[in-house]
Amino acid sequence: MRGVLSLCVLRVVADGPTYGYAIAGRLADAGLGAVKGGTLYPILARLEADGLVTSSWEAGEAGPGRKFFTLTGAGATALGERTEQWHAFTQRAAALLSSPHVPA
Amino acid sequence: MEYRLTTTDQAWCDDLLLALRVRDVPGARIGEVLAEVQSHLAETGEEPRDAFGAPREYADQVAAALGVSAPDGVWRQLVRGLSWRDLAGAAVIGVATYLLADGLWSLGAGESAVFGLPSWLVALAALLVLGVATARIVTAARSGRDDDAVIDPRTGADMVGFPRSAVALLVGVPLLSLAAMLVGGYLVGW
Repeated sequence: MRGVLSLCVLRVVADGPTYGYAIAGRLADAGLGAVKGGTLYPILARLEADGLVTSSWEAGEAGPGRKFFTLTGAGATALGERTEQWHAFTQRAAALLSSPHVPA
Repeated sequence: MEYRLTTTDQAWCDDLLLALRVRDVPGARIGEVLAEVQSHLAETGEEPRDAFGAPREYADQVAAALGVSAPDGVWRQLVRGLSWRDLAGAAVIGVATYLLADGLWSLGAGESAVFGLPSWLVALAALLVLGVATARIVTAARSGRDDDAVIDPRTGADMVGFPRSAVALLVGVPLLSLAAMLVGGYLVGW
């Protein structure tokens, strides 16, 4: 499920530069449950290490600032590929799960 | 920066910093992780343990995400980082401190020091050695041998400062102990 979560994070970032807390909010709104910071930031770090997103710090008014993530060209390509793979996988899995029961 | 962590949050961050250091995560990356945690906590008002779990476990996750391999144990790292010069320096400082304490005690008591040497001479020589040793340590620390500092990505500042209170403690406690030696010797000797 971790790979899917990473894909979903990539999809959220594709909508424009955004930061950790807002990404968690989008995932929760999408019904994916409350994603903890301890899960989310390592995923973002991995995406950045793979060159799929870039990050930059923006100063907050009084707070400690926000780290904004932006999709890269490689990120857009990866998002397309992985989304297709995910659709193919879920279709096959769904077909198997809904196949008629064959008694041995 | 106006933003301040609570003491418990800061303690959690300190543990995380140490855990990341032990896992050989680069200093600049540690700064990023700490800044992310601070930002997240300020944004959500969550407790660090609730949001990120135990410092060590979170450090494991970060190291895994970055593909940093776990190094050998803390002790092996510590031992590997020590040179014979460090050990010899520690021995010299230890002996000089003992001689200074003994010299001051004898001075207070009005007796001669070790080997029947004049107490003022022993104390003065030990003080000189300690002064040189301290100067060497301070210059080494100042010259920025730490080429992998934990840098705050927002300000570029070193996140692991050496506060004045720590300096005061490091200087004050030995001075106080040595003064106590002088007084102790005086009280016992007269």
